[in-house]
Amino acid sequence: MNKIIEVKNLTKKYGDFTAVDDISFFVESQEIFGILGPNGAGKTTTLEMIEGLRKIDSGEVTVAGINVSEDINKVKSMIGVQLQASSFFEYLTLEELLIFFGNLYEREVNSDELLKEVELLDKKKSYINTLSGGQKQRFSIASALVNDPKALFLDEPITGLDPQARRHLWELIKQIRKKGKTVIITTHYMDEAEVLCDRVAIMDQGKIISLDTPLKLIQELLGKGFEKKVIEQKANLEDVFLDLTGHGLRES
Amino acid sequence: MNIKKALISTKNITYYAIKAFFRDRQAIFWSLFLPIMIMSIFGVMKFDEAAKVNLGIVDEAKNKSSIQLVDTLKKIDALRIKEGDKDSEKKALEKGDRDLVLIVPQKFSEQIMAAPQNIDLKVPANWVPPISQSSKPLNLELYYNEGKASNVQVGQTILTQVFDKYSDMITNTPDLFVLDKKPISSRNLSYVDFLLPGIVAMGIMQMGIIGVAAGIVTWRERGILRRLLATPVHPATIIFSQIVTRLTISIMQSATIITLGVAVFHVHIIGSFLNVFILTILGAQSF
Repeated sequence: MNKIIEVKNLTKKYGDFTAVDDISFFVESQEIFGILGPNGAGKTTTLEMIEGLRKIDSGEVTVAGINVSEDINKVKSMIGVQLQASSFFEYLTLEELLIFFGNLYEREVNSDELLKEVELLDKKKSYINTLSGGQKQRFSIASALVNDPKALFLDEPITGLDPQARRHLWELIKQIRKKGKTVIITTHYMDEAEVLCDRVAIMDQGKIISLDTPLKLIQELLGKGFEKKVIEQKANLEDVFLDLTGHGLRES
Repeated sequence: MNIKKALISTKNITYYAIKAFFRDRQAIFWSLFLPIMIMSIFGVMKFDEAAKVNLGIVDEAKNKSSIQLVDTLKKIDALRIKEGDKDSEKKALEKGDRDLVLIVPQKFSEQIMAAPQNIDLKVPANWVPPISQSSKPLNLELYYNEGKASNVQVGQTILTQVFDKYSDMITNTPDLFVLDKKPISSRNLSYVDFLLPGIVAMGIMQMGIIGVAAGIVTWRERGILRRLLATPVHPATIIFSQIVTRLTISIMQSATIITLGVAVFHVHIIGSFLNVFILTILGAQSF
């Protein structure tokens, strides 16, 4: 299998605090790779170092065979980035923003096609601040796809979204993977990781404490004799919510 | 860094930033309507009037010569004359309604009477000016408002000149030198003419200081800067395009204000428009 991203002994320090502590992992081509962990575990910092947004203190990152420290712009032109709290220019329409971002990558952008992919075609003349949370996230993903990237980085994409919008976003991410792209996603929602990710790395205090497929991690835990105290219900509150409010997207 | 690439990105960012700017009503208000409003308000108000010196005259002599003096003073454009008695004029001075109060004493006419009335303009070569009999100068009291130094200064200069002239006439001293004042180009500058460059300068400074710096700060706060940095654009290109953006807006802003000034308030542009244009660019650049 083809390793698209390789991280070796990556470390980031802020003064005495070690945000990312000597981690190594790789991401295979066309997989959905999840980085899980509580807040402050170093997920975002790790991602931003791979994206070339943060200086690497020590260690090495290669994306598609190119070292991030050596040719940052080449790496940037091959990846798509959706930041945790990124916003866009007000007073530009979605269509204009996509063309704008395409120009930054020196690419002609078919904005209609991209917007259609994230189901925002009817909003192409709207400003960004008129969109709902889920629409903003989907647009953010569209803007990360303008350069037809090999790898897509999503930093906590479902935070703050309602169950319908979450499911919708998961479908979108799966579709993107089907088109041959690699997706690296950070989250602290375990259900998201379980549904979406092929492999997950669990981070805590700057270290990767476990890395495998979700199923194997669960089996490993069960193998240790773990048992849930409450017997699993056949449905949970989210199922109730979705049953009552429907699976369809609630946006206009 | 590839310069051609950087220029294309700059053009791109600039184009869209300007487009966004024109859709932002608040930005338009602060950069265009506010200066225009200031100009309109000050342009319509007649500030030329305020530049006059308020002179109060207390005529205690009330005779032909003193009335003649008051008339002479009234003809001077820069003075606004009010007459009254000593007490009321002094009160007006204290209130700030007068800049200067001149007291013409009763003895005023005597001094003039003492002078020869018919002035012979043909002066013989061996002529020596006669020494006036009452060579002791007469005191005219002049009260002034300390708070309005510049008006007082102007008023004093005018009065001094008037009395110099009077003394010369009375003592029969011919003017040996006359300043022949010939206005070469009477441009008749008004208040708005001085106001306009100030407003243009204010606009440029506002753009330079608030525009570029705050623009980048806002981008950073909103996470736009981070998103831009995730693309292969060089950070210097982003800052450069901000400068180009603000520069372009500055030029448009100055052009609007100047055009409006010329069209509505008949502002006189001294020098060429090209000079104004170049100065605008240099000014904006320096911020």
